[in-house]
Amino acid sequence: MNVCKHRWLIISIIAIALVTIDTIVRGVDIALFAFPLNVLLALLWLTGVAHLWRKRIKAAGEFMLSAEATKISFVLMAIVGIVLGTQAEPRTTSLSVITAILFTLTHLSLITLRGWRNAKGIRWRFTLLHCGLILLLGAGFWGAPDRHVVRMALERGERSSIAYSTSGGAENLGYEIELSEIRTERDDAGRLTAIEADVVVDGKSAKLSVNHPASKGFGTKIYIINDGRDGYAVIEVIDEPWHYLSLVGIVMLLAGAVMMFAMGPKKVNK
Amino acid sequence: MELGWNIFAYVAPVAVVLSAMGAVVALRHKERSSVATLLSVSAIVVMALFVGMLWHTLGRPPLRTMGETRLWYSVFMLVAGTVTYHRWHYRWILIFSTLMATVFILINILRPEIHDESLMPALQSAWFIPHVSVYMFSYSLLGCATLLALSGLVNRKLELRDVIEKLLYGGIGLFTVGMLTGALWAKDAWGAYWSWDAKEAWAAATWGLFLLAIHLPARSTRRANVAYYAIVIAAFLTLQMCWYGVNYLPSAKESVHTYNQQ
Repeated sequence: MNVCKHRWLIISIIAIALVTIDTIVRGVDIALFAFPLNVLLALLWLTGVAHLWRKRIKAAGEFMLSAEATKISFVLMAIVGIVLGTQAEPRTTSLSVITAILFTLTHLSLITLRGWRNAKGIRWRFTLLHCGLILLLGAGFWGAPDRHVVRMALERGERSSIAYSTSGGAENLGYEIELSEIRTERDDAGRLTAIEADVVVDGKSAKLSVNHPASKGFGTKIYIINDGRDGYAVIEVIDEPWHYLSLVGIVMLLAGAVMMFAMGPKKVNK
Repeated sequence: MELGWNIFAYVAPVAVVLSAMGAVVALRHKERSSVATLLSVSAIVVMALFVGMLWHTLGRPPLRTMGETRLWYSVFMLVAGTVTYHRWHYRWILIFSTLMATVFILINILRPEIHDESLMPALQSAWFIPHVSVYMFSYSLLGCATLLALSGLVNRKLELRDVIEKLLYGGIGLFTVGMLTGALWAKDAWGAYWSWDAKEAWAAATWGLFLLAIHLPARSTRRANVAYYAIVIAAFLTLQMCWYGVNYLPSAKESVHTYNQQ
């Protein structure tokens, strides 16, 4: 069967199948793919990309490197954005969204490999933009199962090592958090203008306020997410070990975007 | 007498007049005009002097209230317009930047109560001003590109693509900077760079459509150019959803970007 000839038929069948499954199943439980399974799957995907690139599994490789695949990637991005943007509870782990991101990531990786050779004159910009986006998308996609969020409510002077996940399960953090002091400020209309807390995390003092979390070890940040009640704080602990990769991706993409603004339209020879 | 907001209504019009004069001079000269640049820079200096004075009077950086934030928008708008004019010589860009800066200046003059209106804690961030002003400027560039695309579509002009492409590169570059500064801010505020919040999802859709436009191969056929213009217009409509349209959707109720409910 010639894949290139029947590509639109295949794409349509896959799209219909995914949407059908998504209407039946609420979404994939991504926690099942936590480390080390996500790393194994990421390596498997990288092998697939290398296979497509080196051996050019004829039709599939050619299609994934085609201008059509580029258009499909952007259209998928727009569709995913519009669908999730209109859902009251965005189903970010639906099969359709996962497939769309994986398709985009695969195409992006392949054209980055090709573009590196051809991007004369704009090689830095091309590399920063495309590699930055691969890192950002890749870390967000493959690292999502390792993101872990728990919360604890503390009164002033209280300490605890037990926090609760979003599903309500109690977990031992392995260290204690103590709320030493909590301060709130309000304007004349009674609106909250500032929240600040002094906490002791695993024996070390730290200050928490909105936009200023505290760090604890590799990839862990501690936030205050108060609703403004006096003498009381909700502390959120977020483990996101892949966020360093995301940060590198953001910095690269930022530099590329500034170059895009400064250099204007110059394109890669295909 | 303390020199602060009480003199803003006298200082800001001077900046607006200087900037408007620069914009008019730029429009009347086919080549890049150093007089236009000089007038625009003078407007920025006037506004910058006011910011410096306000900073000195308040004894803190003017970054805390709605009025102070809008003051920064107007300054950044003038800076971005002048830089773009000087760098790429878009003759009409100074008109847009002057108009947008004037809107923020007028709000500050006509609504003095916002000078003391404190920002809610989530908005008190160093990322706030770069994030919003970069977005505002990218919207104006993308808006110009869309107007040209509309003109191309209605008048069946095929030769506008080069100019639109230049505007799109500038606009998308800044839009990307806006999204990424927002992501960095979101990590500090809410613990995630990206969470597919309604506003973020519409931003991704907008980004995807504008990127689609600049990735379309240049072809001289009428059909290809009509498709190009149509995509630019569709992307700009999506941008309107991202900017304010999303607030009218049910998904906005759960959005962390809803700041008017405290």
